Amino acid sequence: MKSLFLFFLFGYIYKASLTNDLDMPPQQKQYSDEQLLKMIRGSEQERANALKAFFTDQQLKASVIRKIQQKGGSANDAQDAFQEGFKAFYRHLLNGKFEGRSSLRTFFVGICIRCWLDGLKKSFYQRTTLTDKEETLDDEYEHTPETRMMSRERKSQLQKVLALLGDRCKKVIMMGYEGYNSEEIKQKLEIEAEEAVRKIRYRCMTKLKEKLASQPTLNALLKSLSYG
Amino acid sequence: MDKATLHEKLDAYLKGSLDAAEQAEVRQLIDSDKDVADQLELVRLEQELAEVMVDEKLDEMMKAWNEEASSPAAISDTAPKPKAGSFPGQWVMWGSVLIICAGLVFWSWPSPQETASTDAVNEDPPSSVQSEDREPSVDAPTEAATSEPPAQETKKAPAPAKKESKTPPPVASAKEPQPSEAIQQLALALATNTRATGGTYIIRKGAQPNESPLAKGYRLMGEGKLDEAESALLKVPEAQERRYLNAQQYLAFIYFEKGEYEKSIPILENLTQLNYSQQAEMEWYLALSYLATENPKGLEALKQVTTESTSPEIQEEAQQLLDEINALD
Repeated sequence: MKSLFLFFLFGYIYKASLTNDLDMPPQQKQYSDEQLLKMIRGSEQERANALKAFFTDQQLKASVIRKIQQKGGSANDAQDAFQEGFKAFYRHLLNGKFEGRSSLRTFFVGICIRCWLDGLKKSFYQRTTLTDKEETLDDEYEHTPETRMMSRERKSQLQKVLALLGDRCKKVIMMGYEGYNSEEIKQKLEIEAEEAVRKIRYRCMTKLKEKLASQPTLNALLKSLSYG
Repeated sequence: MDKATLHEKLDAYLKGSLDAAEQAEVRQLIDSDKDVADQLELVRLEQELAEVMVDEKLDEMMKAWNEEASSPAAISDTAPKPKAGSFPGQWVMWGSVLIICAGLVFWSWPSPQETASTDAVNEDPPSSVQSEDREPSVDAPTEAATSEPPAQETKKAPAPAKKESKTPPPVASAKEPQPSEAIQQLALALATNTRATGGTYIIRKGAQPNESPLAKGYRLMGEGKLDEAESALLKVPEAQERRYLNAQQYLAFIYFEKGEYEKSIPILENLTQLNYSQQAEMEWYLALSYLATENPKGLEALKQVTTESTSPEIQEEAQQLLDEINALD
């Protein structure tokens, strides 16, 4: 009976170790910068894989948090900056702001620091103008572009505007922004002709303009709010 | 050039992906033709809308990845700890521990009879293995009600509370909470984990020469020294109207963060009436302060935040609390 028990016990532990079920972090696949950039310009699935690899890179996250803490930020601020920085990072990649003058990781850490500084500056000026602003980036991050943070208010108004758009329009606009070409959008959204993609996009925005004209309050708010 | 082509060209212009000659050509068009300038505004709006959609998509992806990640982020002492329910590896580990304990009891049991040994295991289970080290959940305030001291006796330390580091809500008594007490517990759970003084950290460290009370209070608040910050801010004279209001707002945040809701309420009431800055945050803290002190205005204030707050994040948080309160009925 005891032998039987030992047999099952060791069998269980062996199986658990094989399936990596025990308290072990999953192995993170490491990609080179070239691979990541290629994936980010690739299919939807490839992009998601690249972004996930970046976001779940614990060493990278630790590096961001350490840098921000060294500059006087809290761990919580750093966590927020990491998330905001990740979004800004993707935007910069989409807009071709990465020039390859540093590694992707250095570029990313620089963006996170900028996001943290921007958030700091924003809350700082929102509350008071007590002291002069101090913002510096280390030489290592000199090639990091400015980050542009959208104010909560503007985002909230834009979300209301988005509700005026149909699903198809939203998809066409988003895919266009993400750099998919007309051929890819055509295939993904089952649009007949490539030329139609451009026209759909234009028509969507023209219709939106008409809808906004019938909502003067929202329209006026949109115009009054700018990036904070 | 047809309108759709122009639209596309303006998009490229805004992204800066045209060559210098084309860029200049488009610039000239914008300057000379009002329709083109209007069209440019529309393209700008389109880009902003796309940005919002992409951000939302990334938010969802990040949420999913965070949930998926099973390893604790060993990078900061305030990093959120994984919940037992969403961490299968832990269950496997506890399962192994249980099996080993059961095995040891079984192994060392003096009687060779199988029935006797299993009875013995049933009578003396290694229950401590299961009950200890389990993270308390804020989703179960009634569970915590039996073990935690009253709220006012367990004020939080001045250090800012982290939203992720959930602690069980302090409760008023060991008996089954009444509906109003349960609401209070929910509000307290949220309030004690809300960092009102967040975002006040400044890079520069240490006191400056000729520092005004307001500057000193602000700096100390950023450093997490809430008691000292409070003393400094109380010295801001009422005559300095703008600075006084500023100091009052910081005091409200400090009182709120310290759990001194009775003190934060009148200030927040006054400032929200004045429509001072950070209105959304102040309305939210006021609603939580009301609820935490069983003030009858609490529910109404909370409902107002869910419908009228200018901050979608706060609206969402308030709605979650309201849903939890409604679920109590």
